[in-house]
Amino acid sequence: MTDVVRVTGLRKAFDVTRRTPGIVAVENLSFRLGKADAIGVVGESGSGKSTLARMLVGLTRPDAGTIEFDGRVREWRERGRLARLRRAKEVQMVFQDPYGSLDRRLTVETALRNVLRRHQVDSSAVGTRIAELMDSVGLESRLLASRPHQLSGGQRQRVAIAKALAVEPAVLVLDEVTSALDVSVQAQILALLTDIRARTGVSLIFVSHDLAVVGKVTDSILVMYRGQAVEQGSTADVLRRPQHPYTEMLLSSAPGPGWRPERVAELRAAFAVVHDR
Amino acid sequence: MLLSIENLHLSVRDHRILRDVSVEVAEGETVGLVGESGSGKSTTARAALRLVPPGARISGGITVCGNNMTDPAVVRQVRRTTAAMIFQDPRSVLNPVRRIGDSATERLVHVQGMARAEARTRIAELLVEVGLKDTERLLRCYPHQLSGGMLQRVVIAAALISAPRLLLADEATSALDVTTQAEVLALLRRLQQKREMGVLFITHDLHLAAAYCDRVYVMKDGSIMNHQKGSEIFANPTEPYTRALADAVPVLPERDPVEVRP
Repeated sequence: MTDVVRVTGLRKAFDVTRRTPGIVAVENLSFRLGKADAIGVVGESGSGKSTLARMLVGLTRPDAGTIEFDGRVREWRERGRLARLRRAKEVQMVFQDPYGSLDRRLTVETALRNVLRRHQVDSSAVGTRIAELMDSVGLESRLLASRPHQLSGGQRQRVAIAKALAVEPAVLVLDEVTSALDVSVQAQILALLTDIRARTGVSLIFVSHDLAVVGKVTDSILVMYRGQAVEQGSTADVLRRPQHPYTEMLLSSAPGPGWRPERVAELRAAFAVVHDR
Repeated sequence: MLLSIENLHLSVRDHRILRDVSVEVAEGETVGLVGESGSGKSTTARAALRLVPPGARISGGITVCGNNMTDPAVVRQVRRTTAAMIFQDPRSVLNPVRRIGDSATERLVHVQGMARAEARTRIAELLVEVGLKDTERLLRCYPHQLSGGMLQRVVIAAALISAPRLLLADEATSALDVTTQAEVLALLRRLQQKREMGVLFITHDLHLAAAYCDRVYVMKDGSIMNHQKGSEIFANPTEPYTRALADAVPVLPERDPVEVRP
């Protein structure tokens, strides 16, 4: 009963027109996530991982299935400020491109202040809370006066994470948050996420195409292929003893010692013969 | 040497963007240029074709296939026939409101003055060569109708249309899925071997460069930090920055040996 998130039988299809059925983006997907757990969702483009992320935060409405946060089923009809505020505390999302989620006109301080105000943080406490947030994402307080264009990619992503953490959500959904960053910055952000999880007990849903990155920050992994979870298990098991041929193929596709593109292309073709329609 | 950049310095106003960069690419060779954002790897590749920022001061020698890239007429000739460039995002290269066939044959029709029908036959052959089918329909498609992997193949075909000796690939596979990336790279290698083309392969992915390229240059802050054989980068990283870069990349754990099922 201690699941923070519980997803059951989730399905979403995008119809081309009203009559012709289109692409099934997510099909019969279920998983659960405990407090302070981190799950990775991996798959290639079009596997449905971003659709899943968007359904979790309520940006896309599922066709079927339920999403529960702390035992409470998400309703799609509830409106009003209170419901919105409660939802915000349930789950927050950080995207690949922080430029897209930060208002270019606002300084870091104003952006954080706006979030805190909206969530009725005591105005006397706002200042200290902002300082705490900056500290927890490893940004110096002198950057409070900066606007997004004055920050580096890594700093911007830290601001986006700070904004998400401002409402103290139970769950953080991270959609390809390090994919646009340099490897050294990526390593810092991954370390930061692990640190934040340990300190605040927030649960992470880490969506990425990169299995090695996912392996760094999660305890379990869900591998998606064409909308379905083809494999689900502990991170160590999935990476070391993959059960599904698709996972196996993804693992051997990553460049490393002994990697040859010709070999991967052969594997992909052989896989397509068996599994693709 | 197909491409030879010698002691290139490039600065815009007071900013020094490249310092003493020397890069060589021989025929049939794949040479990697690796670095983080802002290290100058794209600037180096663009400078090879004299595509430099406005107001840039440059010094040092650049030759492509023995052509000295200082004379504007020679530069135009090289860009037209000898060298081609492909980029990370095919959608930013192809005009979204023009059919793929028009964009892909642009070089032949508008630059080289070939008849449209002939150019279409040429590009159709090349599309088959890069592993695409149903080329007549493809040529009539708009970019949004194709996937990223397909578009990148189209762009590669369009780049090869003038039979270039040198291909500059700037993060050409970085936006693709790992499996699609491998497919495109396998294709690129095949085409390269067939045509004895030299490839300057720019990437931020050190693992990829080490596995795919014959030689790798590592850049940082506008300078070449290291130059090694691809196969030696991880086995024997001689230079501290390369080592740091290699260590920053998360690696997959060793897989357990697969048991043979009876």
